[in-house]
Amino acid sequence: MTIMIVDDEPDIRESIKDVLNTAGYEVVAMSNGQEAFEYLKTRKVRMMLVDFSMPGMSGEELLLSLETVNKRPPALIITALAPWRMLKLLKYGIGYIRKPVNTKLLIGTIETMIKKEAANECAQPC
Amino acid sequence: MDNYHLSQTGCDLNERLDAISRLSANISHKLNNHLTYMYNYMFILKNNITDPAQINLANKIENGLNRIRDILQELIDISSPSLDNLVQTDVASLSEEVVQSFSREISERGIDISISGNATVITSRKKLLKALMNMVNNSIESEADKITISHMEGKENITISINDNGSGIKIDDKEMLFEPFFTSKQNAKGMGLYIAVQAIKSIGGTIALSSSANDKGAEFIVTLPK
Repeated sequence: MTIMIVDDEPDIRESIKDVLNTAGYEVVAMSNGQEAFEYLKTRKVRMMLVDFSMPGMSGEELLLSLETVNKRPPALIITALAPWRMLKLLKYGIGYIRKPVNTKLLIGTIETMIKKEAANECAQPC
Repeated sequence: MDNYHLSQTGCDLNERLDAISRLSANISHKLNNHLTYMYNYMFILKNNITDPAQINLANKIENGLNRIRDILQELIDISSPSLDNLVQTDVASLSEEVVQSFSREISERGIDISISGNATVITSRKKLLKALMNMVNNSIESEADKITISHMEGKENITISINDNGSGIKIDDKEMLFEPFFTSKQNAKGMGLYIAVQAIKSIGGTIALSSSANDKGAEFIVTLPK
């Protein structure tokens, strides 16, 4: 099961990759929104973790672009900003977790979102 | 009394505070990333140790990280515009609440604290409460034994004055007083007045400071538009 992390900060990519690996996930790490968008045009991941504030294509722009082409996997925004700044994204069912990340909460949230998505998929004809 | 008005001394001081606010927010964002890095590896470490003494040490480190996190969160939140509800606020009642929250310190130190006048204003109750809490706390920490909170309502503004007879503010400290982490007191974090001025600015108000020529006592005057 592959999770994508998109963050311009190498420490975030490295440490989240290590945490998710210990939790049994495979991880693909992207350093910018454009790279992530190109990847997801042709490949799928189970879920993505996205930094809100990135240079170039921001996390918000990335997620809205993926939404437009119907290629957005379940997503969790990771940011130090307050939740009201995410209102535009939250209405698309995108999750939100505040930096600095509570690691236990992060893993629990990922598990919940993946289970929920799997349940939604089976609600349609399997 | 010398008057030291934030909105006049300059545009200089206001611009500096705005710059500090932006710098604080930027630094906080960066540090939050490094904190995330540390929390992640602390999580992995704790999952790999079973010795209670080592777990205890790891918990102590995590407590330290939590304290850093809380300071950074405060800096980011106070520097951001907010979507607090704006409500009709009875300012004297708010001051009563502030005094009530310090009842233990007031009683223990025998502080004579009085509230007079009243005013109502449509504002963020949460931000105004935060500012008043920090200014009254400042008066208490300055060893005042008399604090007077008075309110006045004008046609276009309301004013809240917090006057104390504490240790006052040295003339050399005035420029730095509202900056984060500046303090002349032992064991104080130095965030209180910075938070107060940012909170008042975010609701469209100003804070003026008066202190006597012999550096004894101080008066903060908050002005809010109606």
